[in-house]
Amino acid sequence: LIATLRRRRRFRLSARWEERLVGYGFLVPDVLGLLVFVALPIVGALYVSLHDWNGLGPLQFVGLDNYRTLMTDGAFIDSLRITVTYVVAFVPSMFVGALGLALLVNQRLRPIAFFRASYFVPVMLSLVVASVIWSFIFDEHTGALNQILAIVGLHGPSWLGSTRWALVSVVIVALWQGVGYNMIIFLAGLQDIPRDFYEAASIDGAGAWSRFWRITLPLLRPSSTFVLVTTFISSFQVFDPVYVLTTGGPANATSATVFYIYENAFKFLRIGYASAMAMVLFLIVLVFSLIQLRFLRDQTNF
Amino acid sequence: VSGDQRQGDRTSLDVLVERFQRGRISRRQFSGGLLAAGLSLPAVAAVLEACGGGGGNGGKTTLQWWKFAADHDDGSIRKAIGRWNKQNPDIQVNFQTFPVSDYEGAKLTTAFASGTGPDMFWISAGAFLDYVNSGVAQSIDDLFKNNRSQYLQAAIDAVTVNGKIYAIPFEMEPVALYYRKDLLDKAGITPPQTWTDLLDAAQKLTTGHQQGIVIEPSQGVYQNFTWYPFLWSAGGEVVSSDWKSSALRTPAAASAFDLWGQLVNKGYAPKKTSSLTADSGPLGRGEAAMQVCGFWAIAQLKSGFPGVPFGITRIPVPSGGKPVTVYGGWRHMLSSRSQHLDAAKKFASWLWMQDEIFPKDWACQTNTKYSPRKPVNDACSSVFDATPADYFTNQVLPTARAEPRYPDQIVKAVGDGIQAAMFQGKSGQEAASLAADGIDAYLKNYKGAH
Repeated sequence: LIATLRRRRRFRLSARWEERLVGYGFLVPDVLGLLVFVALPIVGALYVSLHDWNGLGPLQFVGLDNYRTLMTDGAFIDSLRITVTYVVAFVPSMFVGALGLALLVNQRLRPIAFFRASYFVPVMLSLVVASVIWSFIFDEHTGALNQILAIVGLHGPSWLGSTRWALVSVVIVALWQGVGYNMIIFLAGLQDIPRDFYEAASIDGAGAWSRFWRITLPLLRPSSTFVLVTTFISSFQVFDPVYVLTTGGPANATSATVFYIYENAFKFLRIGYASAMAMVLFLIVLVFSLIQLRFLRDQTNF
Repeated sequence: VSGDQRQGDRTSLDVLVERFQRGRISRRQFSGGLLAAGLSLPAVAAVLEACGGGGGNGGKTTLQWWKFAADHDDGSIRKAIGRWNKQNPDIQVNFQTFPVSDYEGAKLTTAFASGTGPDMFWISAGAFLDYVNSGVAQSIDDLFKNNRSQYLQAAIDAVTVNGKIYAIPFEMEPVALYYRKDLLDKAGITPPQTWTDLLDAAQKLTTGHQQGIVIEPSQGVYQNFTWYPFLWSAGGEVVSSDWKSSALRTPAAASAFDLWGQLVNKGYAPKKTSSLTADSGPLGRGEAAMQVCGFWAIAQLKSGFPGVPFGITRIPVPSGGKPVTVYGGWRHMLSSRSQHLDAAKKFASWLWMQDEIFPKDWACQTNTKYSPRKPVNDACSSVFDATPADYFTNQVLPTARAEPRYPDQIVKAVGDGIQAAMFQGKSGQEAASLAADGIDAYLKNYKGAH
């Protein structure tokens, strides 16, 4: 295309425009995909959220009724509270865990490759499969976790059968499954940091601790931003481990928002109401993500 | 609710691979479905799978029949369809199954929403009214014109709305208390008949890693299903007879919530099980001495744990209460949106009412499930009158009520009450009023039939 355009003198483009055109050309497939598979369903959900719809009969327009209902729906507000608790527990654990593992496997020792691979293996399992495996590990009497605790003289709880521990269990499974992925992101970031910085710091007498705080952490900022934002967004959408491990129980203790949305849409057939909740969740995640990006904006281009 | 729900735990992936291998879907659809399965978004997978259906073929009628997947008895259905398809070249039946966890919600509903629903399908008690209220269910009184007297009245009532029949009932699986004879003998305990006996026995039988009793700890349809006998035998009901309000604000209902709360809080029953307790494994493996379970457990225990001595007794009653239990089972529904309603009626009535082979096979050869149709049970007498099934036939079945067709939001409200008693230390009365509040809020805006 560019070549034909060039041949006609009237359409000669400046180098800058040509570059732009090519750039956008490369973006087209992705943008089209996003429009069809992401933007369109969101608009669709917005439309459905203004209706009363059980999926079987016709849609009935109800304006903002669904949004009014959810503001007084105790179960929805509870589900937001549970989701926020989950996010607050999950995001920092994921950050510290992934960074810690990355630092460990960043050593230049032969056997490290084995650990690197094994930490990454759970990532290749689907979260559903991981949850099924862990549901056996969590069993009060026959589960591995409580048997290990028994060795050190501790009496483990019924992990999934207690309102206190069920959400903790969900966090553990999601961490176990996802930590390897973020570890790789941090590892890539770590290996991008020039060695000279550390050498110079050592010569100046900086200890390991201060090298970590003053070199590693600041220079990992792009990786950290990525890990924090993606972990944050995905943890707001926690569903698979809840569905498989606890189905929202016991006594709704793990009924996170996406699970409650699923229940309303596919069990209670309140698809309009579920869409309204999905829109609210979408807005919450959007606002928080923008705030996060603003705070963490990359200031360390070097 | 039925024992089948335990069986069909196949993933979307299994189904996808199977359909690909049988040439039901193209390579491209397979890749698409695979992609969706990889994203582990059941809804996306369902949508993609739905795109694979359709397509008319000339003068021949093809009926679509959908059901959840159940490995052990789907083969017997396929065999019956094979015989029909051979005899009726102009009406071909195409049978499709889906993972049980996706079947009613993500699969059936989305299909009807997008206008690609099947001509006939199986429906559970909980979804029955949704389908009647929204006009998807076809009334089929004419199918019962000549054989109404063969059917158990209660089974017909369970599928009747405002005098019209909306589905074919075809199986009944009542619930009872199973126990391990060896463990009870060792502890010197006789099978409990009253709630006092039950608590006493559960306490004595809880030792070390052995639980006294297994009741369903996870919230859901199955938990409510197995709890209703306790509620009913105390004289309680979930909703008032006019469906205007909850009927749970009674001491009777409170006592039933309280009983299940006690069994868990005192440590006699497990707080969590690795699979639905429709699976009698805990009893078979000796992890528990008693278990509330359905008729299907006889076959499970005999084949899974041969030689393990088990007994059956009716669900214990509070002092002065009368024995009552519940039975579950799927229902065969026809879609009012079907283009081939007459053909669908013809096939359904052949399958469940005229054919000599399949109904008997379903009831007592491939499965052990009572039929609501008397001639079928008579044909099965060699199975149903043999020990230990005869206990169900003579003692349990006559006291069984059909699983109530409460919509899922009522199921959820009742479950919230049971969970509060089990896991939040709420008294029976508090649990009952929590459940009643949820039911009242729902019924206030409910305009459908009951």
